[in-house]
Amino acid sequence: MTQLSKMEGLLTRQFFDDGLLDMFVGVGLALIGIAWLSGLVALGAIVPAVMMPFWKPLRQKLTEPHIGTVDFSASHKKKGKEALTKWVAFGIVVLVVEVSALFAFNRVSLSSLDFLKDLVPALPSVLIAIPLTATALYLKIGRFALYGTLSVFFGFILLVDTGINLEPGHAILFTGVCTALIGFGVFRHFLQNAHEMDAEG
Amino acid sequence: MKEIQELLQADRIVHEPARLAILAILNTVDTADFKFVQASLGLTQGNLSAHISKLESAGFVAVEKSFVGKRACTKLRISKEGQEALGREVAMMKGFLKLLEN
Repeated sequence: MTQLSKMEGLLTRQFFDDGLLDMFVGVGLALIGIAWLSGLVALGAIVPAVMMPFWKPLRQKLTEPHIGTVDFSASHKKKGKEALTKWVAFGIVVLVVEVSALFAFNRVSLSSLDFLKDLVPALPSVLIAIPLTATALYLKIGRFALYGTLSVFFGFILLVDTGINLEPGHAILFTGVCTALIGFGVFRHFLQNAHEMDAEG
Repeated sequence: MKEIQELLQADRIVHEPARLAILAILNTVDTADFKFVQASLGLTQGNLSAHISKLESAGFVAVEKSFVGKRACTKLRISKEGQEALGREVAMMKGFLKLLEN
């Protein structure tokens, strides 16, 4: 994966490690989960497009008065775009491989591989875990790896016979709620520290 | 010894830890505003202001003041001279640290 220099990595982490991104991602995932559970799966797909315009104004209003802004170098932005492109491509490859494998298993109907069909409900959660883990690696914020792990965990909970009728939308919703709540905690801590620092200044 | 002589003759403007850290941050980005540098280093406003003034007087940092809405914004950018001074400092420190290696 595309690597930032150590200093670039530190500053990138400093810039995004306020909890706002966690809350934003968490709310987005929760909305996707709700759309899924409401039978509007396609609506879930437009959630990121609907939310994106709110990102900059929210940052300007909530975070930037405390942490300021930074304009990263052109090479840093290029590395960011390269990393994003690679991870999107990786996600697409994983999706294509999974779907192809499912079609192949359905056609050959090898009874020994039937168990793989049972894994299908966990696939959306596994796919969601990919960008979450990529974010953790790129921004060097370990919490996002935790969110990715939570997503996989909730996905695999669906495969366990709990007696409750759980759908992939539930797993996405739970991941989103956990991510948003942790993000809220981090953001609160960030604001407390920022106010202390503002008072010192 | 050349390395020790170079250390003793180090540019005090750049050699001071806070100013060295400021230059290192600004050397990594295009521009950063005052708040970002302050939050990154954990310095007080007055302390950072004093260091920025020294770096600006030496021509190592360019300071641009503007308003974003109602909020005052002070953008900082490292100059070519600042990059060169930082490069010299890093080279000097590397040379000196080599003396301490076994």
